[in-house]
Amino acid sequence: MVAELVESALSDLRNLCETAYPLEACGALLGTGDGDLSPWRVMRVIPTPNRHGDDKRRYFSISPELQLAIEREAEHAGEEVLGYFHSHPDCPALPSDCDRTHAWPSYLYVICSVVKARTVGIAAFAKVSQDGTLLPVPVTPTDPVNQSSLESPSWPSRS
Amino acid sequence: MAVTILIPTPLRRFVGGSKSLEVIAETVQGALTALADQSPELHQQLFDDQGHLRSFVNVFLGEDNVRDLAPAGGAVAVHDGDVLTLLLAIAGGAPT
Repeated sequence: MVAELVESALSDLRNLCETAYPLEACGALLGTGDGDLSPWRVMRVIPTPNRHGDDKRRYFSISPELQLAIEREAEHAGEEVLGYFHSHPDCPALPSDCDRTHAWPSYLYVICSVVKARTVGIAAFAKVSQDGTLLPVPVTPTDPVNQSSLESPSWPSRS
Repeated sequence: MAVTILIPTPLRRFVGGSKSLEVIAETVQGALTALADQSPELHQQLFDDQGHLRSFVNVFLGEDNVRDLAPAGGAVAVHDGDVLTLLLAIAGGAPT
């Protein structure tokens, strides 16, 4: 279970999460692969409004109507909705109890930790059983032009 | 009526990995029941113990959310060639 994230998608992810700060950003991950027989390959991210009604600093939810539009968009582009991303403002890029409760098997979940409007960590997870466990998924930033992994597999915050 | 149901990625493992299935039904509820009959696990994912569609499962008939078409949970008729899209609610949050 591994994932690749093309450089432009990684850059967009950071920008979206930093722009949304101090609120949680959220959206979909589109690309190819299934994380099982072939690696997830995230080609792009599609942001969605955070429609959570209570505390957008701590929670997010995505409108089903927007999910449908994203599914249509992915199908039109010959891609799959691989999973979803959201940010953790001023919190680490680790799944919360809420994340575990709402996670679905077979989806890739990317969490972006943002502190003072700067990305300080990005991590990916997947649910492999019904007990709520979210396992870390190794993610490699990838150069879409060369179709190869970049030199550094770690993602330090931007300088 | 022959209806196509588009299956979200997390539920495809219950139907042999298929992205879509065709069922014969007269209503949305009937179509979902026909789908759920293929797997007890899938039935449990879609319906609660009272047979009601779980709150985190959203169903679209074409571009229309079925909950908007029948707010009280009444029957929604389907027609030959209709497409139902199943979607699972997406939510989460930061540690508190």
